[in-house]
Amino acid sequence: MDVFNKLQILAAAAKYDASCASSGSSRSNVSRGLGNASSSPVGICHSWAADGRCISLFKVLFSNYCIYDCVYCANRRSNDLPRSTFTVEEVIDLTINFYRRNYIEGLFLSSGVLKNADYTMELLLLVVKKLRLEHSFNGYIHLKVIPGANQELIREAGLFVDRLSVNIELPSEKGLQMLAPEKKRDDILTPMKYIGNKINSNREERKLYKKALAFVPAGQSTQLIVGASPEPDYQILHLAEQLYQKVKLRRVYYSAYVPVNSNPLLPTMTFPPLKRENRLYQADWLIRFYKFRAAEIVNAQTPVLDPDFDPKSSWAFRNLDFFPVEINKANYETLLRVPGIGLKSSQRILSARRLGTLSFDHLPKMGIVLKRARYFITCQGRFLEKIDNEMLIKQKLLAADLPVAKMGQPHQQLSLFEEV
Amino acid sequence: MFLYYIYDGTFEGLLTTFAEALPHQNQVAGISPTRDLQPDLFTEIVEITTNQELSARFFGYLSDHFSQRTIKEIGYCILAEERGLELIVLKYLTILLQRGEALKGAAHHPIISKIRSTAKRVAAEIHRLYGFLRFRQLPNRLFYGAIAPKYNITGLLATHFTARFADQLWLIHDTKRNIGLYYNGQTCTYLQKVELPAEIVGVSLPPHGQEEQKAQFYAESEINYQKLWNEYFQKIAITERKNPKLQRQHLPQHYWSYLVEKVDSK
Repeated sequence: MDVFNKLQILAAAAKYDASCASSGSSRSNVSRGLGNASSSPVGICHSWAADGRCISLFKVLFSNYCIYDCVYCANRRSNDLPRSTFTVEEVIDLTINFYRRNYIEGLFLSSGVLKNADYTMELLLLVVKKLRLEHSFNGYIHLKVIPGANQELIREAGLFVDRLSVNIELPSEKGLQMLAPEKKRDDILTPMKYIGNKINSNREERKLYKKALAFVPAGQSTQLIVGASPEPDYQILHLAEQLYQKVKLRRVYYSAYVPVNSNPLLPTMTFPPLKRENRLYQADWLIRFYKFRAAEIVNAQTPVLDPDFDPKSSWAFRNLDFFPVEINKANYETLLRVPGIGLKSSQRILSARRLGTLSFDHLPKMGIVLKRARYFITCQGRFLEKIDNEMLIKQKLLAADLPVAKMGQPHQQLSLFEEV
Repeated sequence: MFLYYIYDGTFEGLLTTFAEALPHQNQVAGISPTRDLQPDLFTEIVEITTNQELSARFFGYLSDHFSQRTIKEIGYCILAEERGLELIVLKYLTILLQRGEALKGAAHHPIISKIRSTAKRVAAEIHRLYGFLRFRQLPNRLFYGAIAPKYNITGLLATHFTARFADQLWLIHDTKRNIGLYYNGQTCTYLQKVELPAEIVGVSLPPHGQEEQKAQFYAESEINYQKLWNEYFQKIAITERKNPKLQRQHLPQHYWSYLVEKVDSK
């Protein structure tokens, strides 16, 4: 099989991994070789695929042969599909040549499990080491940890890559038992904790010895599948919060389950739950950047996120007594709680009001959108539109999202005798 | 009496103009690189001769008074090459010099918000080009990247691409302005006019236009890697999640002509 066919198979097999981040690494091009992973603190996207997801890294599987038979996975052992395995040299050649043409920021390498976890992990490690040592490649590398692989292999990989990730796959142990009975939860959590500890101790080490090698400079991430097992958003977000706090993960990715297999254990659906995925990401942002606790967003009383409203608005509806917030007085944390006002808007309000009192005329000129915020704020004690009824605000917001009738299609008055 | 300044269109020329115009800022009616104004009874045209020393001195003066961030913002606005923006930059300099840099916080002020939004657009295009520029390999190891940015930002790409492609020869060509950057494996030089450097022999630059016409100018392996990339681009999308609107939002059609993976789908 030639490289072209292998690429067809192994790119298609890799597409369900959500992560494509290339941000946050400190690896610079010191060797005057190829690549520079530290060039942009926010990462660089090089293209966008037909599904609207960004392409930053060359995301590919080393092999789609797998000894496991996880029910939700397209590459499960019992599926009859074309299979292939790259050679180490092939992956390197594609990565280097794509990088030289500025198609990509680096490589995101994962794999089905060949023979056993250690054997597979060794192959992945070989690709990474050759790229770094023989080709002086300084681009971004994100490597997937094969669950159950030897700790020593993980430690060594951490010294050559920018990001490591272990996929948690299903949000609860029960889900994992049901859909991936051959995988053990411990095989996933143990390496995750190990990497977390290692990153911490490496940070201390680098304070003392500047030349100590960086261990996973862009941190650790994970991914979980949403909608393949019955856990509510409440459970998912609490898990995410714990991962952020206890294991210091950089990112948790939520991947709407795409129905690739049919199995009595899996839910029947035609479309992936994209709206739910979107709401989970919004909630995730609230936890990471807006100082929300997961329990404020979803809890035992409201276990699922409202599909019609973003999680911050939903929180506001439940806490109407927190509002109105006075734009000229509220502190940063309070401003962040207002639906429709984000990190940048809050900052802008803070620096603008040092120079003078703000009114509703000023806000749109500063680039602050009042669509949602207008019901929750006052300027100099005055409302723009005072509504303190939750249902009315919801109605207004939903109406604002409706598409406006297109120009050139004039509204017609309805006649009593015609059917619409 | 109002004053209308004409300068030669260069960065130094504009700095000279600012230095000359600042004392008369209340009388300035316009600054422009061309004589497109019908002079009226009350307007006097002032032609500025670029003064390298004065412009350098003025730049030093600005650097002493403003933070790096403000300097960058002003630079971006100048590179936007938007008609009439020179006068707004002058007004911006005036109010910041009179009332202090902290005034930038008044984000609703029309001049401050105009400068902010313009600088943001220029910065966004620089970031986009980091991603969307594509190199195509010509024979003789040269990697050639043609671009046609909206703003005059080619010079600002030098640091990024030099740090990244330190071990290959490359040429970035702004085909709209016929300026470029050439990296010879050691240093990066800014080209006022794009011509192939003498050390590159047996190569000519591909013409703009159809990809098939350009193909004969490429290195042998180039087409192969383009095919591989196109295939990858197709295969990495999840069909069940197809979302062309979102794709277009992130990948504006303006840049499709650069992209190996999009060049044919226009």
